[in-house]
Amino acid sequence: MKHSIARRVTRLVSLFFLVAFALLFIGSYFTLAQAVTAETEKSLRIVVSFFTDLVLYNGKEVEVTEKVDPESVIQYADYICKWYGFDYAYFYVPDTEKGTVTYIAASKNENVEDSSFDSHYVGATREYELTSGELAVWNEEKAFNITRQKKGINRELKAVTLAKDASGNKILVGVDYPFSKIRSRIIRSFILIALISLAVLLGVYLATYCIIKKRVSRPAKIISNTMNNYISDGKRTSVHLDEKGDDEFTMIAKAFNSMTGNIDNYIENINVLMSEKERRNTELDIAARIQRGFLRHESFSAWHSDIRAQMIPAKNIGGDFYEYLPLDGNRILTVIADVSGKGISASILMAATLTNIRQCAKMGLSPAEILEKTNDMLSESNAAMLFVTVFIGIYNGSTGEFVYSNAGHNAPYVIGKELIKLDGASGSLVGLFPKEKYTESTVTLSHGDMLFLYTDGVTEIINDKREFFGEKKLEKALLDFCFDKSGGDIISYMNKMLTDFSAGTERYDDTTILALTANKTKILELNYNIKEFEKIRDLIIGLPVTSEKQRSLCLSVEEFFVNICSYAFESGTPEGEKIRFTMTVTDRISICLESAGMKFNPLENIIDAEDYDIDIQVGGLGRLIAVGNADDTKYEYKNGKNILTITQKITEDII
Amino acid sequence: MNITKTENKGIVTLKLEGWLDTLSATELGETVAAIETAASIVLDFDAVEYMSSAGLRQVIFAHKTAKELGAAFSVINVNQEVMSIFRMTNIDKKIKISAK
Repeated sequence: MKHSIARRVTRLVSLFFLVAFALLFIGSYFTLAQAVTAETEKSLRIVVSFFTDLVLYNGKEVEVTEKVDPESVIQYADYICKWYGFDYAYFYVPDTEKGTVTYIAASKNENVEDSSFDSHYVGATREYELTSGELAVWNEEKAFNITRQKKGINRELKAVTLAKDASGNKILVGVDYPFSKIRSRIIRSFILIALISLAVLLGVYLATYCIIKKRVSRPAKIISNTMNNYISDGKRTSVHLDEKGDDEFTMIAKAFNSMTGNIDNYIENINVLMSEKERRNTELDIAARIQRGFLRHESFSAWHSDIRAQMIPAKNIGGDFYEYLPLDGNRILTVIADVSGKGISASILMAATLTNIRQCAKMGLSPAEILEKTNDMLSESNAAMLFVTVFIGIYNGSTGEFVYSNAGHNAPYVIGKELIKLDGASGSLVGLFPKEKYTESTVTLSHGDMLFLYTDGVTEIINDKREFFGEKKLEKALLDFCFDKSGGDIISYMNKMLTDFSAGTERYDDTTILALTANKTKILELNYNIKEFEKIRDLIIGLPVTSEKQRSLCLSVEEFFVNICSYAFESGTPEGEKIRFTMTVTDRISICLESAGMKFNPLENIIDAEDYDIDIQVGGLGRLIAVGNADDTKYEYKNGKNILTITQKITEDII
Repeated sequence: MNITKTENKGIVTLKLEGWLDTLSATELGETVAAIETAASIVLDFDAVEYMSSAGLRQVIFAHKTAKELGAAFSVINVNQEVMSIFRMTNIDKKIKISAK
């Protein structure tokens, strides 16, 4: 770590010691110098007092007291030099008038090499002008004088004091102390101090380092590792920091533990909420699927009409539903409804309403009766005060009549030669008030007319300016729509219209459309493939005749259709070639199969059943069955097409 | 078309259900072709509502298969409508067919 606290503290401590060291050095230098001066002064005094005891000076020569050996002075001076470390010690008397000094005795330290030193200078006189300091001492103005002076390249301390002999004669006593000695003493003591300091410094450093390492770096590392491990590989792990102790790191550890605890709880709560939400979404999803399961397939064809429907659910489960139900060969029930509310409640109400309507319809009730029954059933126990808007109509293909009743739903339209709004027979919402009465209105549809049923999700779709699509735009769209187009076309047309309008906004409601196109003549374009027979079969089964008649007609058409598929083209059907199936229902059912390919009259050369040998012949029985099951069959060849017409009568008693 | 095959003491019974038309007849053919041995093959037409020539051909095929296996062959429980097809084509004279 570049900026580790341990390093910083150590650096700081080292710096502090260096500064302290420098200050100590300077301090000790001055202290020592002072001490040396004081010591010198003290030694000098001792020298003087000894000297006074020892020597006698009469102004001319040195006389030694009787007790003492004459050499003793010299010896003593030597001793002083040696003992106190002076370079020189000397006793001298100045003649201030002549400017000379006379040495009474002098000594040199044996360590000092000075060849010019002459037998202790005893009795020597030389010219020497006293310094002001020496003069002041001589004149007894000052007891002691210390000067620093240069002697060659070295500096020395020169101390002078006054002594008196027994007769009271004044003698100057001087010593020279070399600075080099002071320096070496200072250095010696400094080295000692330095060593001690260094040891202390090292001790402090180590102690600081250890403390920081143990109390700061290590816990910091543990905390940082633990924190890093908390989320590893994108997953949380269970971590816990030791909370022992009572320092800042314990504080951090406690805070961290409490934080991870809180995060764990928080995430746990979120997880619970998420799974709860997921569960709810799944339930909603299931409900939505059940609801969609109730709805019929999006397209249905009967001989008299084609139905196309579409329910686009909003984000949540909405309450829209549509229903169609063939009541018999001629009549088909159509329903469009919108249940108030959303979600599970709406889907339950939707299921109840739809089931009830289906049951009522199967009982043969009219649209108004179905509404009344459904209303009574729902309003009996509707604590939540939910309601349904329902439009019910029954289309009779044989008469073209569409009988309808409306319980508060958007009025549908008939798109024909003109646009007709079916705003009659409107009653109150289903589910709120029991014993409501509903009325009925009738409109007659012509061939090709289209009934357009929708929910308010269509008109209440909003654009980015928060404007509704509205009824006016819907009417204009329906007027602009080409009338002879099919039900599938109008659904894709409306989808594009609504998607363009609501671009960039979210749909808040289901949008549901059911379009019924009335046909008097049913036309199918079929491939030359026997599988296409299924479409024909489904249409015939919906015809308004008894099931025996249906099967009989089916048999006839199947045989002819299979015959065409098998024999029309010997070497493969040309691309895009179709068999045109046309069915018209009037007082009779007339089916026409128009096919290209080889000219072939299927009504000719039909084998005689009596001659048929089942062990030899394969096939050939089909046309026999076909002709036998139709009331009338006709063949013509026109414009390169084989045109076969099969007719089945509808007798009054079986409709 | 639903076909239920049962076998009892060499008598293989195929119980047919639904429409025996051009879309479903091959199913009968495949079931019959899968029979390896039988003393007798019985087609139970109790639940057959409809039969076209495609179905008829499969009945004839079953008849031939039974002959090859040396088994007896019969169609039973045929309703009136389907019976009329057998009659119309004269097959009722050539195969053992019994009405409901």
